[in-house]
Amino acid sequence: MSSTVRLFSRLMERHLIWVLLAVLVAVGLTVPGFASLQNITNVLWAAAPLGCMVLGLFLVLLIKEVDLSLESSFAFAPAVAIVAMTVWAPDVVHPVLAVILTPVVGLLVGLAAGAFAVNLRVNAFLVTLATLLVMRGAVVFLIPEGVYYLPAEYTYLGEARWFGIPVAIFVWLVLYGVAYIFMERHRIGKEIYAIGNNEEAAFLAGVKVHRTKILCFGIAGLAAAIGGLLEVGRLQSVVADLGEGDILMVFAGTILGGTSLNGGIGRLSGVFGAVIVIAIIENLMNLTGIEPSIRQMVFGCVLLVAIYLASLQDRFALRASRN
Amino acid sequence: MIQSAALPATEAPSYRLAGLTKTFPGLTAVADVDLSVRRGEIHGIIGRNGAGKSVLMSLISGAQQATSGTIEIGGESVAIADYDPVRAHGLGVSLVPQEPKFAPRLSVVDNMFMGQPLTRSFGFLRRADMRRKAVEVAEAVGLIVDPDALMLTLPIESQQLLAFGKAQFIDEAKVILLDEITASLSRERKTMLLSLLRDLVHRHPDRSYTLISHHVSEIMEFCDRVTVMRDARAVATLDVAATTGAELANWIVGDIPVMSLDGLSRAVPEGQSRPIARISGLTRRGVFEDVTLSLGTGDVVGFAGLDGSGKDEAAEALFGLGKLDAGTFEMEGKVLHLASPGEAMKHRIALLPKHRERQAVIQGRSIAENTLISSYRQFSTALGLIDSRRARQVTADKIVEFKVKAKGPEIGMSGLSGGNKQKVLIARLTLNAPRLLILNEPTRGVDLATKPEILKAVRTDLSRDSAVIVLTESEEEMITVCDRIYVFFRGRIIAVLNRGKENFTVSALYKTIQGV
Repeated sequence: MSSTVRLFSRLMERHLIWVLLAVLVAVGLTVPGFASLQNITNVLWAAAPLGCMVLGLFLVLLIKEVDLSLESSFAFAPAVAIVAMTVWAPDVVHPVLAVILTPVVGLLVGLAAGAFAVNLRVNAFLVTLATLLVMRGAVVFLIPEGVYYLPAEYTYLGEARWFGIPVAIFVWLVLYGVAYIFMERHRIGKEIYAIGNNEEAAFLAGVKVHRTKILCFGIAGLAAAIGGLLEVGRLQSVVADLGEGDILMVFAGTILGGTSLNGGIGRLSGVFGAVIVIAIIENLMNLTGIEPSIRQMVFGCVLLVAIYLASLQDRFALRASRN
Repeated sequence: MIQSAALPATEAPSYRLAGLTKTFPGLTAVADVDLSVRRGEIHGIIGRNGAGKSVLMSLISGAQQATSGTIEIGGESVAIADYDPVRAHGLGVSLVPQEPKFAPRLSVVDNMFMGQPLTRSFGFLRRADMRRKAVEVAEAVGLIVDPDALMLTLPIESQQLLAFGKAQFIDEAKVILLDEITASLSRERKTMLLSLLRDLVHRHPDRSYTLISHHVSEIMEFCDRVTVMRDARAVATLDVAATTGAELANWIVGDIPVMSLDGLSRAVPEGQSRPIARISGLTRRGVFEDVTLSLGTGDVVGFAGLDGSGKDEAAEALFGLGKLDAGTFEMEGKVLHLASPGEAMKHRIALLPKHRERQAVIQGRSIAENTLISSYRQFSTALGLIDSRRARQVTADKIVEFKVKAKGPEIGMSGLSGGNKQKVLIARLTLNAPRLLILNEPTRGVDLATKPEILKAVRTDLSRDSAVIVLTESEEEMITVCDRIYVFFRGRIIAVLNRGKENFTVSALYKTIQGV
């Protein structure tokens, strides 16, 4: 094999999402307004909440499960924290405490759904479909009109800037950094991949399969809640339909990033790239003034092509492993 | 041709094979088999695992195409190149496979008449007739079933009987091939089915039944003639009435040279062996009963037996799999009540599972991760992060120690050969310094060059500080590697063979396993 061919197949095999990103950026450079610092930070700022949810779904797909309710946790966790802060116990729940409370609520609802699905052996798709409805209903009940005046401490992570760059971007990067360390440098990451690839083999190798799977659901809920916290801060308000319908985009990002629906296959770097790809596609549509009425169609078509390309990556990887 | 057409139908053989051969790349599964099965005959096919019995059946039933040779069904020659299940069906050949291939979520009646429903004009189904017929067929094979029950609600043995019933009464096949149909049946069902066969063959002298079995006793009891397969060849066809079980067993085993592993004395001499495990009266009702043995360092013992003899379940129970009804299991003086593999591993028990790809290999990941998955805790720093330098070093060392042929620890597991995968998995077990090592089929799917390497490791390094239990379907390997062999038969240990005694031979072991 010549070295160019090898380089090409290696790109296709492991880094296709970055190729895609490079192509998009190249297209972007021809679009006026794209290459400004202002625009780039805005793109990333808007991408951060989605990125958090994608991380959650990534973990759950790796263990061959699914969590549809992430978009509801995304709203439910901040809503509970905000209502606790403003209505239930304003004396106890200081805004800073509410910031901490938000991911804790996400963690708990994730663990609960995971325990239900894993311990009672119920299909996670159905369990989380139910919790999606329950949590959305609870949000509508708690804040039917939304909450528009939030203390600065609560919106800080989503809204403030350091050196002109939104803090939300740092939060997102830190979250992925920590996740990366756990996936690649910690026993738990190796066990997650093992479970997704071959649950029975992992069990016979002594991995605590149930506990690890429930933990993945918990972390997914936590990540979604952090995403919600960032989004609430960015919008400086919380509305009852926050994140509603986003789960489809979360799936798009996770799968575009090379995560297999059959478990065990996927890279954190891949889904990270995919989140940026999606954000840039949306941004380019804004900048080029594609009419809002057809934007969804354009986006769908772009996704179709992108996901087809991502599926090529699997085939390339398979062929490479055979050689 | 004119003469043969003039002969009465009963005198042409039911089917005839001549020089039938099937080769796969690097392997001849069926070599030059001549076989002529008469009408009105129950013909047994027996041989050890891998002798080519099942492949032979698949050639006759068209599931696979023979490489060369001829097949004649009912006097009619078939073109082997385009022989397939549809043609076979047309000629009246029906295979009842080891695992019945029904649609689990369709009803019994829909499954029974799949492909050939009873219809009235315009293709409308005669539901009532089909239901009645399904019940009749089930009764004929000794079952009472609701024809509308979903197939999956029936136990596997009932499904198997229905598969036979379909071949016999609905397809009305003239050549019925039964591939180890008796393996999953209970004793009473088995006797019932085989008696039914005798009765049917009496009533339908134009049909033939070909019965693959692992059990010498069944062949002796129910077959008219038997063909013995060994190493892909049909080595003998015997008249059952004129032979004995022992003679048949000798044909099956043949003249097998025991593998020689030079200088294979025990890793720990008998006198210096330290006790490790005491197992007494271990019982899971209906599966294995009263399993009792003691093990010390350097001991390599075998659990032998037919499938369903309880040997696998007994061995797995020592790794915390499945429930126990009675008995105690002591490791180094401590009585254990294991609830999971994780707990067993804490007590330094290790298991190499029987089905490598399904139960042990983590396909998409590297050799390093496959080696370390059970022992990452050992290579973690205080924060729980993996000390990657040590992990890499350990994997590299294991690759050298076990002579794994791979470019490096980061290579994907799926690129390795069976033998190399098995070495990686054994390396995985050794990282926890096991005191009791249970190896189930350590040489299955392993190339010929690697088998002795693995067996040698069992008798040397792996048993240096621990006891090893080996389960393998190859009697030679058992005799080669074990000091003691516990033979399981219907859940009980019926014999213990000791190295050095005169009955410590392949053929004596085979006969004991068969219970003849």
